[in-house]
Amino acid sequence: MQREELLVQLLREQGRVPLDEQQMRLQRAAIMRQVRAVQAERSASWAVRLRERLGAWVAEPKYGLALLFLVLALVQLSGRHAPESEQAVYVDVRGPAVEPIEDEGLDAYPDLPENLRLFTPPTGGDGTVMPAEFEFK
Amino acid sequence: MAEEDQEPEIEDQELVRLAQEGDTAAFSELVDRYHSRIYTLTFQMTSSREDAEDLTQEIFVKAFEALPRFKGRSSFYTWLYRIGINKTINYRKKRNRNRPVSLDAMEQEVTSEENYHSLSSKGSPLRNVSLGELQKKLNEAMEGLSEKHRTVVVMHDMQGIPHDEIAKVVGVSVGTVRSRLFYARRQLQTELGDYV
Repeated sequence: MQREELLVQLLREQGRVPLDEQQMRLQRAAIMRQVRAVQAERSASWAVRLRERLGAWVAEPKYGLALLFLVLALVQLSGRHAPESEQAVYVDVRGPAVEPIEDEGLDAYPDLPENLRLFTPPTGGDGTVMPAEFEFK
Repeated sequence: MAEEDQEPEIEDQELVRLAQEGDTAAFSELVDRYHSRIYTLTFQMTSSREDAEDLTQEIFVKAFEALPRFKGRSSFYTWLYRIGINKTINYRKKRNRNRPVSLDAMEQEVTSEENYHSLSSKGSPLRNVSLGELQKKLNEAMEGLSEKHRTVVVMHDMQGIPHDEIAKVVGVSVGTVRSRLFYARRQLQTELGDYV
């Protein structure tokens, strides 16, 4: 008999597992009990589960702190990976929009002749233009 | 595999669909169909009845929890087996200690097999070896295999699952399964050199 064949036969014999039918039935029943428990938990309402979770979070603040840390880390990471253009601060220097003034009903300034003298001619000796009301002594 | 040869009244697919909709009776039928095979697998992988019972329970509960995500790309049996193998390997990794099956219990179990007696009377070297000693040695040799090699030996040589089915469960090619089996057998032969 070949050594390998002998080994395979030996393994096959070693692999035979006598099953106790009564024991197997009890096990299957235990499995189904757990399965039904899982099913019942699954169908519990979201509100109940949320309340339970919240209670656990209050009782164990470390989970809340851990979540906060995680959120901050995510925010930090998202900022690091964002494109540079999005990191710049945008400032609008134009200021608020101004409404145009309605000129209806306003008197138009009269057109003045180009040679109209607005100031009186200088009276000083050094050619300084003085306002008309200034009285030179 | 013998159980699978019988044509079931309701196909696995239909039972899976019903179980996915929350029908626990349908899942109970699946448990009845595959319980003994999963138990045998875990027992052969762990060499401990208590561990096999606990693991079998965990595997079925895990399967029920994961059932909504089962898309039916493979057969339910293959999918269940994959869960079983992964859970058992993880368990063995955690265990960190070898706990071979009680030799007294093994001797009682195997000496009752007619096949062993015929095997030991065919002029093989086994006839001169104490059964308990041989089983202990084989058990030690099996414990010495890596998880992936042990898995293939258990599935093929102990459970009689064909290469292509093992390949699907383990997620490797058929060639890799053959290669692992070849390597594992060679290592076992080396370990059992004085006996086999």
